[in-house]
Amino acid sequence: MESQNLAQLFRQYGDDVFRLAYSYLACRADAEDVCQGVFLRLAEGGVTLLPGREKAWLLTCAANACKSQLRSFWRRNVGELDESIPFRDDTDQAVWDAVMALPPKYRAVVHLYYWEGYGQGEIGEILHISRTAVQTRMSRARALLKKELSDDEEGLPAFDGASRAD
Amino acid sequence: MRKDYRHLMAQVALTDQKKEEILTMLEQNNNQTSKRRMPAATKIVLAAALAVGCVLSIAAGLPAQVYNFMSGGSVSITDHGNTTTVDSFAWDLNGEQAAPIVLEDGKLWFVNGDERTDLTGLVDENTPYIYEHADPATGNKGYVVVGGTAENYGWAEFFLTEDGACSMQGQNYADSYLTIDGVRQPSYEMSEELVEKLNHDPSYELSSVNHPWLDAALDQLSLDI
Repeated sequence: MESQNLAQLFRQYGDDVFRLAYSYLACRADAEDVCQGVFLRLAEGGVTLLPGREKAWLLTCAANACKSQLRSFWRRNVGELDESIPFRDDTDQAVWDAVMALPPKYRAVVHLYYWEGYGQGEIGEILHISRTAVQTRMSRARALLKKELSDDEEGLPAFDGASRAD
Repeated sequence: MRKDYRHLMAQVALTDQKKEEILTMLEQNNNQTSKRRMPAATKIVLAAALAVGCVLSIAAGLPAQVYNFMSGGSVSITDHGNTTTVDSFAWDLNGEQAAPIVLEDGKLWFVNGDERTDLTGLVDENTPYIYEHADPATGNKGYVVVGGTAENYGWAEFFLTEDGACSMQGQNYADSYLTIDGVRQPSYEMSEELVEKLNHDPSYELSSVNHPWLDAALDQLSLDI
């Protein structure tokens, strides 16, 4: 891939890749490593990106890298440094804490649905899981979030699987 | 919830410093990768010559033969008797103007400076047009071969020393094929599923096959490269 195209892709989607990684790993340094690794993988070549599917590939690659990190001996056995991002207000922090209390595989679905606006099918493709699994994870995530954020029950929209725009 | 989540995630971003760091790394890595991923035929020829060059770089040789490609760039090859070394090789494949073939109004033209030759009826996917080029600076001779159709055309330029060493550069003169799990397919015809599989499986095998017009040209020129 041309260096110019690669830089353009990074500028366009770098933060999105980082956000997904951060939502998985909750550690800035680890999320940065994943983000860097994803784009370096692209720079190494041998990858054919389909037009219009670049972002989906990057997010899939990031999700896979995060899963590997979470499975790694190092991460499971070494204490993490506190490298969280400070949020502006208490509500943000409360939502973040509630999301971080979810298992990572639920967090990914929540992120792709709430932030990226993907539907069930797209989330399934990115995470390599079935639509049913997406639906199950989202339902369970919503139930857990509802429990954590008991004063925000009305704020949880139904998960109908449709793609959501802001 | 969605609104709250989006509000907090909007605050999550790479720092400018990290962005710069990654951009720099990508540029460096991409440059290295570009050098590794030259067209297959070129890669083979140069690899052989350069491997010899490592061993014999201190050996005394005849004066280097320099060839300035018609399509841009140059090569300098030294004949050491039994072996040759490529002393320098400058690639110049980025400029459209460097390509000796252009498509205008559905017609292919061979371009050599101010000279233009209409290739209609002269080339197709099996038939090459071969032009013998003499480097005006050194007098060394090379061959420019073009072929294909208006929809899929390409070119290659060769320089051969007297002992048969060859340097070559070109564009779209071969197709790459990908083999995954024993299945071989042109990379441009891969299904979405296969591309997806490739994206997640680095253990694929990439091979290169010359276009028929290039093989026909190599036969006509009795070149075995």
